[in-house]
Amino acid sequence: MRGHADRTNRTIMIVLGAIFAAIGGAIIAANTGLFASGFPQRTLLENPAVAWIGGHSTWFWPIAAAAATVLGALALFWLIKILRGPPKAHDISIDGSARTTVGATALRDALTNEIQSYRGVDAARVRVYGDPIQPRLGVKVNLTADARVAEVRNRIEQQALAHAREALDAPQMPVTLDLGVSKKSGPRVE
Amino acid sequence: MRTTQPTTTPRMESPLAEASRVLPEPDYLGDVVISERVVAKIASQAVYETPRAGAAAPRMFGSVMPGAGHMGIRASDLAARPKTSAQIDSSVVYVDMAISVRWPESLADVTERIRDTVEDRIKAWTGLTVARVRISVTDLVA
Repeated sequence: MRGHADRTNRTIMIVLGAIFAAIGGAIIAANTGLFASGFPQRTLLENPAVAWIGGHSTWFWPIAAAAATVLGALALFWLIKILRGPPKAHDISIDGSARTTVGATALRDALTNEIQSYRGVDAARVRVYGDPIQPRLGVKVNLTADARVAEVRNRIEQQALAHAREALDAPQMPVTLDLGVSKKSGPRVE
Repeated sequence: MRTTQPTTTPRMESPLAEASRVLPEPDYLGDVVISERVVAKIASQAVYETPRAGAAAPRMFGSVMPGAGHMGIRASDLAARPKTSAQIDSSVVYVDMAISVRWPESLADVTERIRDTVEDRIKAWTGLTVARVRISVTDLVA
């Protein structure tokens, strides 16, 4: 289940890119003398910004350190958020309230056990996402090398996933089915 | 002195005074106290009698507790009584239960049936009003 934060990521990247492009464009423009302030004639060490910072170093550096810490914390938070994936559901509501709930782990275990019992399936992994009222399932199945993929896929969709939808009374529950083939072959005597 | 009068000693008066306070009317027969455990048992019996639901093994960190079924730890079993608790607030009952349901029965169907049975029975057998039956399905048994 990737792609949960794609839109936010894209927006942040576009904004940051636009800011940096604007800064670069401004520097190029200054070098070509567009602002007519004598910028291209200055030497490298004659830097008014650095001179200003040097003049106010007593309060400038502590504030810069604080700002950098905040920025670092935000970056770390973002990284964790990206790597951890979408939040897992805990309890799924059955009747739309907290009066009747089914544990997401119970649903996960039941579905995993059913899919893993099928012939041609090496391993299955089920995740339950979303909010308590509208859960979503992510199902990742590893097939054995000699499995008939179309057959197993049909069986998963028409039995296991249908059972899950039936149990939750949610015929429209979105499910992401991810099939892979492992190198292991099924139990067979040769 | 007044204290020498035997009829006015508080020792003689006290049993009468107490009796008149406890018995406001002559045909008062006493209180009926129903334990919370009794109400919880009635609720768990209703689940036990449903073939589609039963006891659920406790979970730890999202998976069934190791050793469930031994040493008094419940195992998930459709033919066993689930863990229930009841709270009585004057004449109103709040019931909480953690059950297992047979996979893949419709959970809404099963829990609604259980809730109706529990409410009817507690009402009929104890006279208490059921305010809420909270059912959490913590295991699905194939």
